[in-house]
Amino acid sequence: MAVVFLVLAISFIVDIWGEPPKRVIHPTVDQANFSQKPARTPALNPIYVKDGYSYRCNDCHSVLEPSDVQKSYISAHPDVILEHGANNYCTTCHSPDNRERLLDINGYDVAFDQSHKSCLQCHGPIYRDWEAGVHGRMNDYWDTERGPTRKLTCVECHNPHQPKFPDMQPSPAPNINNYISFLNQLMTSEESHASR
Amino acid sequence: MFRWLRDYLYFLWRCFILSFNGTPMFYGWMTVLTCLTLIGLNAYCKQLVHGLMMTGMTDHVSWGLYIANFTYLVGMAAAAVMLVIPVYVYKNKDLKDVVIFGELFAIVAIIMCLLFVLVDLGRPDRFWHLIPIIGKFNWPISMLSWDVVVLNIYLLLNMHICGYLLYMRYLGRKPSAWLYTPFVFISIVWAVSIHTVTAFLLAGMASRPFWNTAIMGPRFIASAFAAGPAVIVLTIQVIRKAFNYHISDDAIFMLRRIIQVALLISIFLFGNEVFKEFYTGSLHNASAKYLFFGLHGHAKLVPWIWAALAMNTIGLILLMLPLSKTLWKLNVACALLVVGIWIEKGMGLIIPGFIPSPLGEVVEYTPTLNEILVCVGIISFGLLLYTILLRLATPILKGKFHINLKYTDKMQS
Amino acid sequence: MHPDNNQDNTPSSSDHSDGFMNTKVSRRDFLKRSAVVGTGAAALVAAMSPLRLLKDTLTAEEFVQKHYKEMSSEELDRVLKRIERKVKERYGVDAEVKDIKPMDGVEYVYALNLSRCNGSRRCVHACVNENNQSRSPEIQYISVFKMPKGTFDMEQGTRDYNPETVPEDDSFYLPVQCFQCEEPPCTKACPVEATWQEKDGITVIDYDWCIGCRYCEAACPYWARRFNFAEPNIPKERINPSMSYLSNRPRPKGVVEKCHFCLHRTREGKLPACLEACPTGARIFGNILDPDSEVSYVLKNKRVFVLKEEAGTLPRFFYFFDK
Repeated sequence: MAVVFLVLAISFIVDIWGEPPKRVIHPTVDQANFSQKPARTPALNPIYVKDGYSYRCNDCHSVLEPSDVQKSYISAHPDVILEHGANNYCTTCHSPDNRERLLDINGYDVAFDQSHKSCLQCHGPIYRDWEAGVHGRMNDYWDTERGPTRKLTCVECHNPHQPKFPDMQPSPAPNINNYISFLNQLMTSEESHASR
Repeated sequence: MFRWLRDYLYFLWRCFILSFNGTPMFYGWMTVLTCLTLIGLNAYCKQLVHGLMMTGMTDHVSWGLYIANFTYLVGMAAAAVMLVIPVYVYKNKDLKDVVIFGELFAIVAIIMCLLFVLVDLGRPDRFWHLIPIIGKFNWPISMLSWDVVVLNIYLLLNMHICGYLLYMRYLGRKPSAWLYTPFVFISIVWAVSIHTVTAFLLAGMASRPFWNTAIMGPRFIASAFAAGPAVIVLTIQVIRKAFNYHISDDAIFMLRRIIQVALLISIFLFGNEVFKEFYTGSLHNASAKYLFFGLHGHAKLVPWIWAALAMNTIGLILLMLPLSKTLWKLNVACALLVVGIWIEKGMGLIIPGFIPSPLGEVVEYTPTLNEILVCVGIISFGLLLYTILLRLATPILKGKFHINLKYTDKMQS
Repeated sequence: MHPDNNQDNTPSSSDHSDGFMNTKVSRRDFLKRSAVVGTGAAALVAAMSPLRLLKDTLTAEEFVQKHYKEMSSEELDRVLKRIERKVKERYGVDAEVKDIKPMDGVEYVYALNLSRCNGSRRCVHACVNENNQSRSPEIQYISVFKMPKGTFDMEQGTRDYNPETVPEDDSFYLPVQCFQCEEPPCTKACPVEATWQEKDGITVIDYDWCIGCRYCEAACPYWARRFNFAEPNIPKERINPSMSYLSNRPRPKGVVEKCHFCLHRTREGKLPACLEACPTGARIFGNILDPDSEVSYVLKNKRVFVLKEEAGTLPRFFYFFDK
């Protein structure tokens, strides 16, 4: 009996009765995955940058004939691809008389940093939701008595020329495997534990 | 004045000495159980250090082998009442000699239950939060708090009944009826309640449609009243041999009849459940599908549940055969039922409740080695305790361990 | 062979009645017995030897700590200071642990626009970062399910999607987190009242009171609760030092945790972290008792639904579609 107990005691010290499961250490997630940065930084001033020089819109457009061309003919702005539903003309939103201003549907001009006033002309219901705070993101305070609510504007998420919200890379998926247990180690010598 | 106290302390001291005395076989058996208990303790200490990651449980399957054994053993404890009712209500003579072994078994089963709950806790150091008044007991809202109450009271009831009767026998006095009969009748009601409350614990959750069924309580009781007496049938044969204690075959045959009826009811209720799940065919049967046929390619429990069904069916057939003089058929049937119902009501009931998760994910569960060792340790500890209790009870009942008699075995092993 | 055989038949009445104690023991027997007792004790100690690895041993002060609701403000202050000290010891970060009470006249409601959610999982990671969740093992409060279009059968959804870009054409995305139910089944389940609903509707957990039975986890129909199966592991540089007792302070091993609508932010008037990181603005949060709040607007003007309404839990988290 004494011998049995002694052997048992030694077995505990040597620790032959299995081992703790190994933790799978997951890589630290990049900060970009929880950034509060809006989807895009819109141009709030009518300034055009090309080859390191910046121009006011009217630097060119006061000289150039205000043309009523369709999207495929824009040669000076190769980065602008117009995919905005049925709107095929620049002058649907940009004032033909003053390219530093935008336009609403009645022909009144709208400041560049007030672009939502152009948007609302066609997107009434969504504008109503946005005004109520249920379309588009808010930041900072829900309780306006404690601090200001910052409400993102249309162009902070939507590119007015291609308003569809951009596809994005998803953040890392959850890791199903947190441990490699002793039994699993015994049963499968090489088990792939996917961890991103 | 202090005479009774002195006598009682002396009784306890003699019990203590006696429990370390026996034949070489007794020593061998106790050594094995002690070793297994220590191995379980070692495994539990590791769990204390590293946390429940030592088990196979996950956020998806958040209860496993521990709670499965707990549920099963609550049934075992409740089943003792199937010996008490015939003896005290129907004045059955055959079972009179056996009833105390059933009650002792209930004590041990409840202690094992409480240990299984303890090892399942993430913070066993905060167990005192469960103690009414000094802790904060969510009673009567939480079914778990009910379970704590009924289990502990059932433990106290049985400890009182067994302790009182055995001690009176030791003193050679006639037990006074009003000091134990009321408790016996309370314990009958209580036995049903412990298992019903345990069933309610599972059945009361809208989150788990597999458990959320009204016949959970009756099913628990019926299966317990089959598996419990089956264990006792096997146990009393061991007692007869190992402790040279006379128990008539009639007692065993009486238990056989109880098992027959309980098993038939249990299988009938099981059939009801299966009908409801599969004939209705609502999405709520996903867990049942997982259990019996596998779900989305996950089928770890399938062989187990069919094995359990086969065991229960063979057990039933063996029990329905005409009575024979030899007990081997009965013993095989009992062994099959003990294992079959353990699977059906333990792993076969607890695990599928979690699969798929409430959000439809299928994550399977396999107990880890450490978890199994903890379970083995607790069961060994229970058996150790039961052996000691029998070691004390049998000579008392035979009148050989008595206040006025020197009673001792050879001390050497 | 039977233990009772040996001397049962010859009880020698000549012995003292307490014959047990006077039994003559030979020297050999004594040595034998001491050896058994000694090695037995050695085995017991050896069996418990893993406990030497136990870090962070429990102090008496922690052991007797009262339930959150029963602590006086001085006692609570001491506890908060202790937590700050422990955070400093473990992570080297000067954290501020506050106890922030619910505001009067405020009941929080969340709304989520399923038409807008693009499955980017920014909310998931913003939440992990804000709430000091364990990274390995990984604990996340928000589960984003990718669901095939044309069904709402959750079994057909998956959390494990990882395409080049989201959204995918054939899917929509369903984020799930704690819904802060009005009839929470989890608080009913808890045997020790370690979790309860506060008057602003947030169901909180006292991590220092939870016994880790995981009954609440089983009772939740939305799989919103998480258990600390191991000691949490958070990179030091990612600790959010702005903490509160009932929300994002680092949790101990062996207790349950879950989303609490970022109560350390929202009870100070700020928006929850998941909302602030949502690139599409699918998440809307506010005070339902204020008729002019955004969430009131959603309930009045949108067609909303809750998950598993039949469970009778009355979630404070509403889904809606707007196109």
